[in-house]
Amino acid sequence: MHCEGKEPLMSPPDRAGLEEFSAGSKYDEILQKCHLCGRMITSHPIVHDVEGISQDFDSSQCIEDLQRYRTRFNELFVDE
Amino acid sequence: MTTLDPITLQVIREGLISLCRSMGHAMSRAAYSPILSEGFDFSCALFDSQAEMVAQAEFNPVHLGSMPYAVEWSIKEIGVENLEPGDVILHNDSFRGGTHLTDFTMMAPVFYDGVLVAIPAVRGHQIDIGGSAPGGFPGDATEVFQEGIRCPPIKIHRAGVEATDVWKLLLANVRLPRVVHGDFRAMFGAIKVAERRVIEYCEKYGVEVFAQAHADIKDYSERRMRAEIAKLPDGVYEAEDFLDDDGIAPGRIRIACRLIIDGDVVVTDFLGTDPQCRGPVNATFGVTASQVYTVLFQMTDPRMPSNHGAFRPIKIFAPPGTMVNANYPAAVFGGNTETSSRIMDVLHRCFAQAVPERAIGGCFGTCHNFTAGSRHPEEGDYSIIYVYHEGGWGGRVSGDGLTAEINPVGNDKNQPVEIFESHFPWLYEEYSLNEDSAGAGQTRGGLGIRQRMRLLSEEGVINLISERFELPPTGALGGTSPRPSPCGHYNDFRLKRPTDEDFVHVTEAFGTVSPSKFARKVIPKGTIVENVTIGGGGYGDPFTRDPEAVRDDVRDGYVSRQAAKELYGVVVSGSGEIDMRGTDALRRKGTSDVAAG
Repeated sequence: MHCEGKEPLMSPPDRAGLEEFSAGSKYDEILQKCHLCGRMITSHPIVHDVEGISQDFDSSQCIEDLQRYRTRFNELFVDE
Repeated sequence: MTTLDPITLQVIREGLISLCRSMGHAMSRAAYSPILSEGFDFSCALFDSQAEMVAQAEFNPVHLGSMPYAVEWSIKEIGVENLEPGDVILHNDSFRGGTHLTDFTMMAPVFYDGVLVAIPAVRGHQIDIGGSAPGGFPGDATEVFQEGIRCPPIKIHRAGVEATDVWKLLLANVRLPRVVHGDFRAMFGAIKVAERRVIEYCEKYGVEVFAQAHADIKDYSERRMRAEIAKLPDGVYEAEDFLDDDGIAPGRIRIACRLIIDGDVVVTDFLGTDPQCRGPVNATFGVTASQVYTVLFQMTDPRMPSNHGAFRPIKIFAPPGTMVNANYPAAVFGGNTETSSRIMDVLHRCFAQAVPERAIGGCFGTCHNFTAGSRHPEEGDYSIIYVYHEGGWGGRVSGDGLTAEINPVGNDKNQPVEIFESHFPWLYEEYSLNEDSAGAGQTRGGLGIRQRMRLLSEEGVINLISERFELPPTGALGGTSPRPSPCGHYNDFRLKRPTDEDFVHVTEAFGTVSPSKFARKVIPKGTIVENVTIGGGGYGDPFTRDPEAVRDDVRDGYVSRQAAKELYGVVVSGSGEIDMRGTDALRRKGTSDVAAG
């Protein structure tokens, strides 16, 4: 054979490499939204030492708002 | 630290707005594309170290209301801890706080003595960003991937070193790399202008005072906005409006909003809006938020400093997966220009119930985005045009609606004919006001326009995303909608190829589903395209309009004699004088075609 005694140009991948490959890419695009108000939520909170930094989305506030303004909106101005 | 004294605060606050204007001036003078240099389709703002907007200049509202989401997302995704002096970040993803893909946001962290002190940002519309349609606005897109290259937040400068490989990748995917690169460099120049000014502020006042000013500016705006909202009557106000179609299938699309005013808080809830559609008119959250913020300023005090603080008392519920908050990977190109306009219409109608004295007739309701690509017959270069058209705004209590203005969602400027013809292989054959296109009222709507352009290249590819072909803008408080334009629809588009005997709609010429949305239609040399826009809705009863104002409209060619009689009950003679007896009789009779339905 013409390549006898020589290293093949492309070595076959070892088992570990194959397993890693077959496991597939872990790439995931994070585009989450609050299911209540629809605002985007990042998965990378700001790490910063200045007080008052932008807070990540707080869905507890959203639940409160929805209870106040959507669920009860018909009674809202009757009650008060 | 305590708050700053009012004088220092005011000096810094106005200075930061001036800084943003300076960014814009640098941008317009350095840009290659007339979209930016003439049309001002860009915006400039300054963000603080918390990625919150502290100042903006008076540019494009749909940019300015959504840019805070793009900057916030970008800084979070990259991580503050990963920012270095000399970094510049680029971003255009519609689903990360963007609008449509041609709108790129460039931002840069500014450090002083190793401390992050500000983040200037500029958003500019690029003339082409790849995708299926030259110049964008593919009216037949069903996924964002067909609309151009999507760029999540990436560093295009790392610690002062340009990431040339990133540029290569980006510019290899656009049709006009030299122009686009030039416009990106103009954006970079604007960022540099801001950076210098920020450093000057830090040197003059110190970092602590500068940071405190940011906090105080936001708090001041919040107080102003809460005080303005508190003046509005508490209550629940609802309205709806419709888009003609999505470009893919016939059928109207509902945009619904419930406005709740509760003390010093405003809530806009878009529950009831239709699910996102297949075509390219889905709005992203940022687009919807922009319209909410813009209308709040219109209905309160437009002189309030617009920044993050002013947005705090405004709550937005935009259900994911709907027309006002489309989920990835929906097509969104026209959401930024068309659905945004409808969101504004719906909000105006809600506010008209709360504060009738601030009601306004609907505007022409589209940006009427026409794009085309062709090879220049003399220079041989490929060229792309993007023409967003003017139309009429609605009448309001203080006067007639504005005539031939860019849609209020954009606030851009006209690209002059002379500049346009000197750059592109198109020849204007007509650019006129669309007579009788305004809705009638005590104050009438402004007028739309008619524009005809002839293609000089051997062949061209044309695209359009427009709206309000089927449904007119509405009047306010007794004012009327405009009548359809003579060519059939309200806003309209037709063309006349050399082989056509007369102008035809694209539904006839190319068999498109929609007359207002299409992409990649090929036209030969000599084809004339006709873009027509309608006027705005009227305000108040037309029969109460001053007859002399109607006479002047007839003399100026805004209103025909026939329309003066039918819509306003004013008889104008052939010599342009008011027939008072005939007018009195008509108005006493109190009937008109409109009143008779």
